[in-house]
Amino acid sequence: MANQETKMNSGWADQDHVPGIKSELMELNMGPQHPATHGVLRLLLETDGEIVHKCTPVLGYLHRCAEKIAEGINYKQFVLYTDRFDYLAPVCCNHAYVTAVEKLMDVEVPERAEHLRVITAELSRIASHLIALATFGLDMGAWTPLLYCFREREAILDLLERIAGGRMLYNFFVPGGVRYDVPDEKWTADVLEFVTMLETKKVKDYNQLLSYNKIFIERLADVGVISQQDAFDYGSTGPVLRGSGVSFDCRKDDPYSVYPKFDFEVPVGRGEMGTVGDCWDRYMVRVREIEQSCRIIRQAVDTMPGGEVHAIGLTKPVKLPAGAAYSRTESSKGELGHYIISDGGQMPFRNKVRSPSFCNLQIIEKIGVGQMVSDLVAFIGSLDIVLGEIDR
Amino acid sequence: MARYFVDIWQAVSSAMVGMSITIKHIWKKPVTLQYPEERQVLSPRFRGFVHNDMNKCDACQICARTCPVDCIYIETEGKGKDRWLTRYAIDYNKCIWCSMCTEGCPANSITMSHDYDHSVYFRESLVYEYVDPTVKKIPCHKEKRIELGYHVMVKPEKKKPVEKPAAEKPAPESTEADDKGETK
Repeated sequence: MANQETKMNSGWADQDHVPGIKSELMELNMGPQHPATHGVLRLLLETDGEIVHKCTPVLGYLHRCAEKIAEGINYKQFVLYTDRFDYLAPVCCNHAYVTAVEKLMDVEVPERAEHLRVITAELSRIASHLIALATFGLDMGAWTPLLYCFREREAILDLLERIAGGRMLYNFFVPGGVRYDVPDEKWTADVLEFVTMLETKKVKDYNQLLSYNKIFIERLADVGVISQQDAFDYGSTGPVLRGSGVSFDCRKDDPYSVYPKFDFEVPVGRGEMGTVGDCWDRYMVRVREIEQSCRIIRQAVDTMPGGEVHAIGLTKPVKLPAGAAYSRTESSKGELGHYIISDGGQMPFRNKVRSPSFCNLQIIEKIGVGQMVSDLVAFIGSLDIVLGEIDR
Repeated sequence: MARYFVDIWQAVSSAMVGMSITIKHIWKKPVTLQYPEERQVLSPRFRGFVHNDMNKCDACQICARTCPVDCIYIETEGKGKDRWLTRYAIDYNKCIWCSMCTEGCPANSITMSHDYDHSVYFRESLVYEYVDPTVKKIPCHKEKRIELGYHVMVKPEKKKPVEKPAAEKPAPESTEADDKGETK
């Protein structure tokens, strides 16, 4: 009976297949330099052949002490460190931080600035989701969608470069508004043109190329299923939670900025190709979110009022009243929160960041077990993690 | 058995649909640029390497204070009318191209250029010195600057002299007018 128990615990590993020869679980390092781990994620796997028996993420390879740095520089300077958290959607990261600072400062943000924030944040979200589905396709062996997605992302980078000046790290938001107004009248027209092009043609292309490709579906359906309960238990947010069929979106359920003004849907996983919460559902939630972001951008551009774009200036340090504020926003990866404790000075006493990728990754310890190594790659791809945000 | 053939048909047909999209792209223009020969058209706001017009700079040190990574080194000597700027250097090992120095500059001397592809052999070479080695020092006081033919920022609406560092006493509610004056 003892033999039976070991078999149940660790599968084939401790069994003597051949009398006298004992096999063990193999420890396998996946990463930190591995193309499928999306950065410098190291996974310590215990494998039995192809089956994963234990999966431990090892973090910290990209740790830059951002939270500690925040305590040493003033509130306006830290905005550009938040760019570096999630470098695929930096504007979304800025949004959480400036919202927290404004909450504490009690400053009225001009309406035009809020609209510009929404437009750039949604553009940034689209860019991030494009990368997510491009690299996900790449992990699954589809090379062509990567090139197409990068082409569209390039158009977004051009638009954001024209308004913010940077191509990757924009430093666009500032507590109390945004840094610049639109560069010219043509910019908004170009945004609308791009959004229409993306909605009508490109998303259809991606769907035909990748989403509804039979091989792709077979590869992902019923793989890495996260049940609703698991998603709640591990604190997943964003497309990972919505992929499991839970309609939760900070833009809708805990509105910030001017999102309540806009009409959009929260796409959730429906289990069309397999179980609810499998890798394909999470992938498809992102594709549908691109369409919804396009809707938001169009409404934001149409209703954008005139006026100032920043309320308290760009570079002069500000003093915040003593107190604490937490703000959460929906970044492209999930719920991004900033908790700022101020002691009344120019610099925060403590700045805690709740990063969505970090919380989403934790579930890998549960779902990763019992899968094949190749399915684990699909699972990591569907989580869409960014290590800059996990390690900070 | 029927399922087996349906699967094969679906796999082949969906691959063909994808392939047709790829084939359409053969006749489209390439979107890539052959980088060193072809250059991208950059927007006016593009943030490249920092350019500091030493004719305008009067060492007010606002840029060095605003810089979040402390990459601007300014050295001066003397006081009052006899104040001279002897070194103005930007350490591009540290610079993060955030453009905060240009926004605070009251003399509009710092701007972001459109250069983005400098390369050097040693890390030390990335500390760019801006003071002309033949000139060696630049006057900071207004009268001296006018006397020696340097550019002086004239601000009619503001009474205080140009070189008074505005960021020294950060006001709790920094006035909107101040910042607009700086940025424009």
